[in-house]
Amino acid sequence: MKLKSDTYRLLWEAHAWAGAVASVLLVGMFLLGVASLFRHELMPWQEPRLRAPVAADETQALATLQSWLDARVGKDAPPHLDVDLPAPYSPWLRVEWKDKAGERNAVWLHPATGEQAPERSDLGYFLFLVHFLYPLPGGMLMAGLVAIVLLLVVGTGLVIQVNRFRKELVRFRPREALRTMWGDLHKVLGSVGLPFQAIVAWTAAIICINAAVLQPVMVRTAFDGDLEAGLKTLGYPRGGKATGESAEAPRVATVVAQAREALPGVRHYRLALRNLGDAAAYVDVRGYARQGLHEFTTVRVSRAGEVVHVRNAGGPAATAKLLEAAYVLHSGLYAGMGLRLAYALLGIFSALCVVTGNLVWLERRARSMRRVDVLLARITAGGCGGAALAISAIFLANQLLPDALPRRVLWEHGIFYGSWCASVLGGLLYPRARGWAQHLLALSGGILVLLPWLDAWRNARRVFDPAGSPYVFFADLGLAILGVLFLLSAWAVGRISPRDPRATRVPLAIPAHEGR
Amino acid sequence: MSTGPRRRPGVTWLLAAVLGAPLAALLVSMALPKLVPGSPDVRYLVACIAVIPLMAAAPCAVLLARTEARAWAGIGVTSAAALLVLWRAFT
Repeated sequence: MKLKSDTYRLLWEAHAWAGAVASVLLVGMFLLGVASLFRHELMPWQEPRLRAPVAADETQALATLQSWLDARVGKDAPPHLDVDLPAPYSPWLRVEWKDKAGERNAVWLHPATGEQAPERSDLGYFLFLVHFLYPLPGGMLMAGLVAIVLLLVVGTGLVIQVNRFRKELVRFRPREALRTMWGDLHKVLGSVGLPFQAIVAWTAAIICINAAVLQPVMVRTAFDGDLEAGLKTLGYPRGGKATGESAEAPRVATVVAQAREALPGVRHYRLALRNLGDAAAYVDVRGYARQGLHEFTTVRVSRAGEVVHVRNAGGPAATAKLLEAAYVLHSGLYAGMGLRLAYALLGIFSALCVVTGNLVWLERRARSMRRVDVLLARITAGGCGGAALAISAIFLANQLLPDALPRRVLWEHGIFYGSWCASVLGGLLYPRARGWAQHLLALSGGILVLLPWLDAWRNARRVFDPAGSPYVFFADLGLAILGVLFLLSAWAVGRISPRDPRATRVPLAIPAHEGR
Repeated sequence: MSTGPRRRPGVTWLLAAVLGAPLAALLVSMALPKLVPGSPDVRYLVACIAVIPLMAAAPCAVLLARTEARAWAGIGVTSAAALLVLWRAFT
């Protein structure tokens, strides 16, 4: 396929502009996506009390939970409560609820002794939410739009490279001019990561646009205002309302046994207790079932112990299956740890691909930087470097903030947002964009590389100890590798030579075909 | 389609492509289930499947329009039709 010169130019401009405009969010979302792939495995790292093995079986854990519920129901128990059952990465029970002011509370419960400890950090889950921009107002919609832009960038990139795909896949010339080197790296990373980027862009767009805007409107347009029918289609029908008649807590052991009988072979991981303390209380038992692209199950058990609803993996209808498949595909849940590691590598490649795309743009215009190019250079430096710093900063905050600090979890979130915003602001004010990016990347890399030693010192353990918790060992390894990658990036950015703006005032032309 | 020379897109044309077209496509996707025959689930499915290609293709269609006025007219007509369907669904 040979493109006309005008068409090629238009596609190139669309590819470059769309990529440049969304670059900061894309880099941040790719890096956060890498971290959120391992959010469960990160739990022992962020919450040191989960590192020691617990000698308690499920029966004991459920008895402890029952005692905890019985002591509170009818007194100060909230009406809705979520309980995460013990898992290999988190051997304690985790109980979460919202208080009357709507603030989220969470405590850990030792499954054998019933010892209760406040949640110290929600680092992994927070990074997962920020990956979808969920905590920001209108964030899901913004994430959906960014995903559509990524789809456009991937599509235009594929069309302008289609004839040279095989050649670009392996061509890298590090000794050539910087523009060539960045261009080669961008094309190699783009070609290698193309299927991954297309899949994550499409699935993210469906997940975010559906959650942010489609679902609320579909109730009216597809279900003629019948919210109940809409929820049933997705496999999550609304439960009954509280009657006002007091009753004791549901028997959790019976509930779990019923769920297991209804859906054998499923890993039931969470109890969502609703209308607690009321005669109309019920429990939704959430589960994971490995069934290709369909994963999530629910068994609803009444307070009396009767199964009232079963949602098989994928849900009852085509739309539920599509949406669930999109989520499972996006999260790499359809296979094991090997796939998630591949996703992580491709996520880092994709972030690098976006950054190198911006560098190609800037190198092309280096001889005649317009105001928009200077702004792009500064925002790229502050925003992309800031994403790296924000991730490093929240991990560092997890280590250094005192455990007894009130609202400690929110402090971690604040440090994440603050460091990213400060980095962008610094990028706009610092004299040289290149220097700012280098500082941010070097600082982020330094922090991440030092974190395993800091954690080992704080918790009196050996660093990179394969005999200790495997989750901590691999978290240490992952942080150190990410840190080294950031340090290497800082070194590579340092290789960009400053240019003499008087050399020429003519920007490099976009060739009709890059057939070198 | 005529093959005469096309003008280079200006700022308002780009605004039409970047803001107007995706918004119009989103409105169409939201209104579509009201017009498609079939069960509620099928209508929801149609919206879920259509929304992403529509939002990605709409800016391209706007950039390919013969003139800026035609691009805005297309966005206006499409959005008005979708809003009418949505207004009827919500009232």
